[in-house]
Amino acid sequence: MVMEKRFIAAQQVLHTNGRNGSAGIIESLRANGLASFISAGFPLPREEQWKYTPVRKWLRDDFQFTGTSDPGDVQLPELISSTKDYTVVCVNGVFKPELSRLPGSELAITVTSLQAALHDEPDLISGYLRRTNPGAENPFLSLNMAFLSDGLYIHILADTILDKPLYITDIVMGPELFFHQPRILIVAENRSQATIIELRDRAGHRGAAHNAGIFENTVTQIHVSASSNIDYYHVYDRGAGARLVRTLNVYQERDTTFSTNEVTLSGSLVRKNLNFLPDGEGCQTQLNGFYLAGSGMHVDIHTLVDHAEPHCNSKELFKGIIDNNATAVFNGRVLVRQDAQQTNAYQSNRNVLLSKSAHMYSKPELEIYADDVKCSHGATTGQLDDEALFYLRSRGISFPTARRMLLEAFVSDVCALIRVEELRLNVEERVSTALAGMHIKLLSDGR
Amino acid sequence: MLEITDLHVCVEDGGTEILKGLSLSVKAGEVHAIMGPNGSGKSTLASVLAGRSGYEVTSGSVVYKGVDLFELEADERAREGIFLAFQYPVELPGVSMSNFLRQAVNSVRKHRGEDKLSAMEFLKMMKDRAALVGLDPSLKQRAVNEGFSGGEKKRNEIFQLAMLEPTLAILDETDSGLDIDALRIVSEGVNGLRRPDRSFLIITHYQRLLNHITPDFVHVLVDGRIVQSGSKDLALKLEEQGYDWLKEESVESVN
Ligand SMILES: Nc1ncnc2c1ncn2[C@@H]1O[C@H](COP(=O)(O)OP(=O)(O)OP(=O)(O)O)[C@@H](O)[C@H]1O
Ligand SMILES: [Mg+2]
Repeated sequence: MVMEKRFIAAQQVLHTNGRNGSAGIIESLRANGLASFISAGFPLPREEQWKYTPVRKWLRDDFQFTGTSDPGDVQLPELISSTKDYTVVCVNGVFKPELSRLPGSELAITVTSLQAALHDEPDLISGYLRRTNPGAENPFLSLNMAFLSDGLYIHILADTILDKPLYITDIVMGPELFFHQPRILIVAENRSQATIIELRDRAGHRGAAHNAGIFENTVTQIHVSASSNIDYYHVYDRGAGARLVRTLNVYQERDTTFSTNEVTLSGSLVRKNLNFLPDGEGCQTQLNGFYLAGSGMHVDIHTLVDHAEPHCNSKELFKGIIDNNATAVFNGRVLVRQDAQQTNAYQSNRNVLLSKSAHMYSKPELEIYADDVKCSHGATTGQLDDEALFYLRSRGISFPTARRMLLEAFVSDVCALIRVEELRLNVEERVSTALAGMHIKLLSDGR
Repeated sequence: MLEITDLHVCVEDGGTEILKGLSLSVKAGEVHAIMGPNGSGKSTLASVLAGRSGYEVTSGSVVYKGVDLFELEADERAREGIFLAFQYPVELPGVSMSNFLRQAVNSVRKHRGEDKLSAMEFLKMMKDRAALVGLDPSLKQRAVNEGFSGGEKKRNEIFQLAMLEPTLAILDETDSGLDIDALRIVSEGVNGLRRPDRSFLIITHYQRLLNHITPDFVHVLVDGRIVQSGSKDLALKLEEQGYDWLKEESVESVN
């Protein structure tokens, strides 16, 4: 518990002082979080869920838990400054309305700080915050709760159709070894529709992006009420050295459509726990994504789709490119409970290894307790096709260019699933940059 | 242009010998047809000239435009003007035709010291050259060869030939898989691409292609060696009599 003690002590210092006797709702949420974190502790190396990601290795630093209080000039990510769509800007997890471009009052949507929301509607909001999909509990979720002070709350009222995509970005400004724990809660009421993008980019303050030491433990909860349709994207590109543990909890009521596209481009550790509970009939769940694990990166994607109700479809496609000395893990768990008849669940994970020192652990986990279902999965891990490379080279295209073209092509179908064109173009650009940065040593013959 | 002397080629890592002392001389502007039974080594010759890996040259030499061809990587050879129309073109899902051709054309042009084409010039060039070989314009919107029919793939090879303007074009059974009309259109396209400084090596099993594209020389490749060379009339004789008479001759000449 030595490692945990530092976090517990920091929590005490941060959150005991300010307390003025009466235990408010935030205090009680924090106390619950702390208690479950203390009883669980960080994952041990042998734990099944963390078998290939010995996460303690990335937790040894002497972290600090508060960001810069007066950040001064904020440098927004390029995409956020250039887009004409809605933007919600947070700094160190705290919502900054003055930096955001919000929908007008004609649209029934509220964007506010989590603190304010908890103040206004303590029971409702804390109810959402406490909710976790079964099987999705993990110590990082508890730790995030133990440090809860503020966050972002987006409330889309019934029948609201957001006319433009909404970008959420969180700018990190703090000490070098900043342990950052933001929280986002999105509630979409009945029959609403929205496109929401969560962008964690390398932009910082005054252009000096120094994210190399940060560790982010983020939690995003999305509650999709009946007959709603949420198109969600997550783009993680904090830059070399940054660490991320992310928990996404999606709760779907009946007849809802939810899709996410998870783009991972940089960082030294990226662990995602993506949890989906289609908890009503007629739900559509789509999980797409790709990861470019550059040299030295460790990417671990854990997904859980828990089919509890009949007549639901889930479709999952993750692709990965893994470079020299990089490791990627994909663990796709699909649970089809006894009542979930007529479930269609499809899962695919495909990977390209660029070197003998690249590692991929891909594990589909299908647990099916209903008899009338269609479930399939496929996982492949291979290398670039020599014939395709030769074909390109025989047309005069140099080896590095040919390789980059084939790798871009490999993830192009996942990119094509990004329905926001501006975002898609931005992601494609990031992909080209990331691939150009891969100094790939070649397997077969050192060409 | 191309001087092949006593070329011996094995499958890499001590595999069987496929080309067993092949010699051939191609001058600028000439069209040479290579015929021969299945498995005699025609595609191997084409592959070795284009720089495909997996083969080992055990002896002999190939001199192209005065330089040792084996000093050059596959992409360098292409930029130096060697073009192979594949017997089995490769599908490249996710690589668009226009991106592919832009990369290829610009690589070759840069090497030749020519300016990069503007987007407009490039589009016009694509349009003109596609028309030349009768390529369906909608194919240009798709991923390279993905889901193309057999004949469309072959036409696409000649389309790329027209775009890249090589000095030595090697056509490996481009005629197989083409219907009669397509054969005529593609052949006319090839004829239109004949230049005094551009040579062709045409691998085929059938006389009908040579009805359209008149070769200066016809060679017969049997068991890794050229056993007979002649004028276009040799192709006619092969069409009538097959290869047996040549196989016997080659055995005799070995003995
Ligand atoms: N990489 C390889 N490994 C093993 N054998 C090979 C390889 N490449 C070619 N061969 C063999 O070499 C011989 C010549 O093949 P090649 O493809 O050159 O014949 P071809 O004359 O083009 O025949 P076709 O008319 O059928 O196209 C064949 O027996 C083939 O199986
Ligand atoms: Mg052949």
